[in-house]
Amino acid sequence: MKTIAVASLKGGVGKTTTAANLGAALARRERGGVLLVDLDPRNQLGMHIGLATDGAGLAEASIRGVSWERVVQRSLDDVSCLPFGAHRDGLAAELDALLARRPDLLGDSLAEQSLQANRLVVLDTAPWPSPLFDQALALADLVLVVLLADAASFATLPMLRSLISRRRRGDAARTLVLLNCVDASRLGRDVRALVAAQPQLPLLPIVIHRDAAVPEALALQRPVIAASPSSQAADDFDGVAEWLLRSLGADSEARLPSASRREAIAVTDLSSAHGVSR
Amino acid sequence: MKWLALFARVVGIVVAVALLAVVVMTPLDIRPQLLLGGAVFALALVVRRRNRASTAPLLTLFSIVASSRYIFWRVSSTLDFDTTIDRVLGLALLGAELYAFAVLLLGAFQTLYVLQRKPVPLPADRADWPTVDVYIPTYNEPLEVVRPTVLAALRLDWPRDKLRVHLLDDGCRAAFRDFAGSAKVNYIVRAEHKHAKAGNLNHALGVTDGELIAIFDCDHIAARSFLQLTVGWFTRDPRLGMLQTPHHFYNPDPIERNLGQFRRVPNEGELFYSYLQGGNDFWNATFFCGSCAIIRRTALAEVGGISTDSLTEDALTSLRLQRLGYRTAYLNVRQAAGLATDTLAAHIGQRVRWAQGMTQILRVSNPLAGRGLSMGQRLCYLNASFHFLYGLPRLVFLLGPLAYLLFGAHICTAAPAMLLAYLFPHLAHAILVDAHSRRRFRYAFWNNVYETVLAIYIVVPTLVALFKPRAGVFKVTDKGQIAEGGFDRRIARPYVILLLFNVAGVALALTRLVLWDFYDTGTVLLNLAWALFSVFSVGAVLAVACESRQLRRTHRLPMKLPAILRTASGHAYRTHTRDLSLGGACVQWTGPIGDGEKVELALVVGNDEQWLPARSVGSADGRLRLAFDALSLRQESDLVHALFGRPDAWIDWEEGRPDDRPLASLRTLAGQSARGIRRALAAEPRVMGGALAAAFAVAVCFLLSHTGWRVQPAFERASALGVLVSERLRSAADVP
Repeated sequence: MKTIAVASLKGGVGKTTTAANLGAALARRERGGVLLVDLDPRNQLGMHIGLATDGAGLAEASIRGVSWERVVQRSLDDVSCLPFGAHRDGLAAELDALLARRPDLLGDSLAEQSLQANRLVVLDTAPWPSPLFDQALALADLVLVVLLADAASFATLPMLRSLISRRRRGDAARTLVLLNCVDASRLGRDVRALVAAQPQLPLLPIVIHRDAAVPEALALQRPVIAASPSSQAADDFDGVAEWLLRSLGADSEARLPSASRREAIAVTDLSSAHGVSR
Repeated sequence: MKWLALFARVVGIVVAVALLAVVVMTPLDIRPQLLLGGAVFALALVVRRRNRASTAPLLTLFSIVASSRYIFWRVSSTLDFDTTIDRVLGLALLGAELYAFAVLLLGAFQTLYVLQRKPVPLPADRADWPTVDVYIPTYNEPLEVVRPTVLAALRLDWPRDKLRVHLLDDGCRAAFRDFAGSAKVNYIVRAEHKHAKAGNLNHALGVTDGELIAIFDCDHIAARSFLQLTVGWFTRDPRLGMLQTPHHFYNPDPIERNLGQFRRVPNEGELFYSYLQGGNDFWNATFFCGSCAIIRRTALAEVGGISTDSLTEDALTSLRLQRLGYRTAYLNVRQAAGLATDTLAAHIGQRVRWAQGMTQILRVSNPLAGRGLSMGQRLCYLNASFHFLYGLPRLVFLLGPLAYLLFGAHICTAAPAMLLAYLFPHLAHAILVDAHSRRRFRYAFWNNVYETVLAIYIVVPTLVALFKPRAGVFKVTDKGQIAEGGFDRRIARPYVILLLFNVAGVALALTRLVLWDFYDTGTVLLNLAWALFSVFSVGAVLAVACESRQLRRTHRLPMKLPAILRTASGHAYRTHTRDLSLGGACVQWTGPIGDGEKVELALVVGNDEQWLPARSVGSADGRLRLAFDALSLRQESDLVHALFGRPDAWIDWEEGRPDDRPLASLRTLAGQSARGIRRALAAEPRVMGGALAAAFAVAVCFLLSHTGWRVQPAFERASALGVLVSERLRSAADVP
């Protein structure tokens, strides 16, 4: 079982939307076997894939010592989801107390046999800072940091880097930046170039484009690959899913196309095309 | 040992020459000659089928021997003329044939080995890469032609501090200056405008200082990798003075367009750029072609800059570099694309200039004379210059059959069967050798079209250049014009006249065969076939003169690039382009969209997306046509980069094109020729009809005057026929 954490240091960048759509795209490619886990107390992940959000979830289950398996729901599009659970007063305080006692709660809960049947787990992480956020970061095989191509997002990069290096114990190489809502603007293009150029946190070569199909899909409570399969956003999520599966499946370090590597690829292609002699 | 080797070599050469002489000079009767010719040709066919490395030289050898035998026989046994007219016309024909033979020999030498040079890597340390000045000379071309060239040059993959782009505007136009300012390229003008393009370049030499100079004609848009692929040779070889790459055109030239053969048949330039230049390179005789090339500054300075005393200043410059011992290179990778001339008139004008310039070189800096050149270099340049003298010989060949058919002159005194027995191997081997070694670069019989189109127009300029080399004027070829469409009468008229004479010849030959001639049937048949070939050649030229309309200002290139389409509602869709031009695109798309709706289109090139504002101009069959809105300079640069910048943009240009099949080519061209003649008839019915009648009348008069004594039996026969018919009628009338 591989775990992917979708994280962000900043609100409003589309973290939950990305987690839901990515989970759906992965589930389609993997024919089920993908578990979406909502670690965000706002409990909105289920809504993105058409699930009821008023029931109990993993928070309540943890406090009562019930197996997480009992609160798993299945969506119309065949995505399994562990909701955080409906809000009630005092829930957050109780959970925090529990987490303080059990620093491996997340890992232990996911290690249950029935949940282990899932090949992939996608974590919609809790807002930073919080104990669940830290646990998710430490646990995940791969962290996707969702950013908008704007200045505010770009400004979170240094903090993100130091956080990653502390929480992920030198495994920062498996943290990737995913740009969301990319459009034609000059600023977006420049930020994208800047993010691609900084060496610490590699940029996923596929970005999610700004597309009206995404909010429309949310209104329908369907993932975008189901609601408008021919849209660019659906293509982007599917591309990211394919990329993640390939890099996780390779079971080594995610193969990251750094700037220098891309150049090397271009040059090799060219020389084979023209038959460069040496 | 050295002496022994030399001795062996000399003996070998002497024996080979002696053998060749015996084979060439032994006279044979018709039967053994036919047998020999047939057997050798059959052998050649077998050799060609086996297709080994030795095939091309073997076929060439056969061809040279067959042609030499023919020429030797022609000179030794067919010049037994009766009258002065016969002698004059006969010697003219012989001259034309000798010219063709010489070109055949020179061509065989030039392409003895076609070097296929590959790119070499640059030094690992970028500090060792030379600084490069890119010159883009312009004089009167429209700005929209020049813009993409400049923008593409700015995006060449090269260290920024080692690349400088210069726009050399000899027209001193304010719009160009403004554009250069906004694009941040160096704008160079000069006070006096002597020596046209050469002078323009030389002036820029004085005010720049890069180690290498890359020259692009103002319409030649470079791929980003141009320097990466070419400069390696300069860093490897310090004596390399000039490196040329092919000129590639992304729109059809008039011949391709008017015959509807764009990208299906190799165009006129391909033989030179894909084949002959490689042969030149083997002899270290690569010609500089004025664009898409790099020159080393120090070398150019040593020859005093670009030469100014020829209309083809480029070829003369490389000749002078080679005289000083600089090496030259030809790298056959298409790393730039330009605009072919739009109209036939412009096409001819450009070729005439080349012809004139190359002929001037024979006088200004004769490659056979002077110091510094190897025999290979001398002969390659000689061939290039000599080749452009084809005008007169071609006209002789086109008019040749008329000498006999119209004037009754015997210009080759041999029995027709004997002539055929010698002529057939000569022609068949020449076609075969071309069909083998040029199969991908020039189809059989197309040479005939390309040269016949120019033949009439090339004669006078080349002769003037030969006798008064300094008389020529540099004429800039117009680029970026839109062909008006219709039959270009002005260009076609001389060919219409040629056609009429040949048609008259054919008509007379047929008449003679049926009515008059009982004596020279073989000769008449031979000349009839010849005249028919002339009709075929001229017909094809007339087809070329039917200018088909050009509707678009910018040329669409079929190109499948991934793309993103974002509609006004904010929806984005993944799609791909079907074609792309500087003005718009056609994308795969099935959704509903209103005409004129604003959209954004992103071209995805690698990890890069280039967003362009556009407007829908109609959709059908799952395709959406878009016209780009006004683009910012940055967007325009992006578009140019996506369209022309990719290193492999032109690599599969001729993909799917079959190798030459001579008979198929002949069939295609025969169809075109018939079309051309029909179009010419339709365009000029009165001229054609009147002139045809006149030509026919003149020809009949000539025929009567020459063969008057032969008309007697014809009349007798006709009257006998009349008597016979009337008797039959009478007897039929008697029956009841």
